[in-house]
Amino acid sequence: MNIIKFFLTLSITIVMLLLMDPRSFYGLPFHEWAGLIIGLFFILHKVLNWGWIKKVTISFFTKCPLKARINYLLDILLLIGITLMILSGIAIARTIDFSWLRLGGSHNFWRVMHTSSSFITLALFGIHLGLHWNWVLQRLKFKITTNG
Amino acid sequence: MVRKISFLILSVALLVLGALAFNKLGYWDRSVRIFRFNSDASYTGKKAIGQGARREFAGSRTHDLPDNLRRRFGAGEISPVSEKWNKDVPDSTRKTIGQGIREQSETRHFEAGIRNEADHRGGELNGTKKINLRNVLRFLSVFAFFTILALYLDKGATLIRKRNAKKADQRF
Repeated sequence: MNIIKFFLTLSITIVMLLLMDPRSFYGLPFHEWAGLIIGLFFILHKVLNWGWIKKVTISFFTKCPLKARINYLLDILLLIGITLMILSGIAIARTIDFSWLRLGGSHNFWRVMHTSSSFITLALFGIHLGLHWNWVLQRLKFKITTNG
Repeated sequence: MVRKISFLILSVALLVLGALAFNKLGYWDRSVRIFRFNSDASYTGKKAIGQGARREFAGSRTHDLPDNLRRRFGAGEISPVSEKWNKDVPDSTRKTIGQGIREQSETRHFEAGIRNEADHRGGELNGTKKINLRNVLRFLSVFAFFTILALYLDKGATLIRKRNAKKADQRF
């Protein structure tokens, strides 16, 4: 299970970085489709860690360690960021037709929202990885020992 | 020990690269732009362009207009951006003035430019050039910057917590 989590995290990181500039990798069609797929990856990431989410939600105001609380709040911010990123991406999409969703608001507003939310989310994502660095090292060690 | 020192050097290098990429991408400005967003800004912008064009035109080309048109232009009744322009100004005058405006725009440098223009010349958004990873590397540097920052802050906080716990133990 941990290996699945590790490769899922790795693919989210790589795809997220490729998505940061729509001109960098196969233009807008890739940007828009991969943007939707990364949303699914994110949901899968949350489903795989559902046990931790449940545990911290129950004990958040009682006996939860400070680091877990910080991680929990960071995860909520990440959830908001990714939701805004995908929502604004849908509103300004050019190769996939989402006009039937009738999201309203000006194109300029959604564009600015898309840029800002993705930049803030990438920063939060970096912080999230930094706080889980020991977990990453443990996974890498596990891989090296199994291979060796 | 050698491993720790090399990891520290690598971290410092990544932090410096990250800070440079942060500046280059205008990361802060683009991140907080949504909090400064003003929905009326686009309208003001258009208005400003119209007024600016008329003022600029008044200063340079009005001497080519007949007296009656120049008076109406001064009063703001007609301008090169108004609908009346095509209807009221004779063809010959419009042609002369149009030529002047064209010459001005051809010789003038467009100051605003496009962000990272050099990296994106040739319409890559439409798929002319498929892969250009320069900006991806910049974003990777910024991502690594935040990761390392969080990692060391976490390590520092853990160290302080441990020291405090040790002191508390020694007291009792």
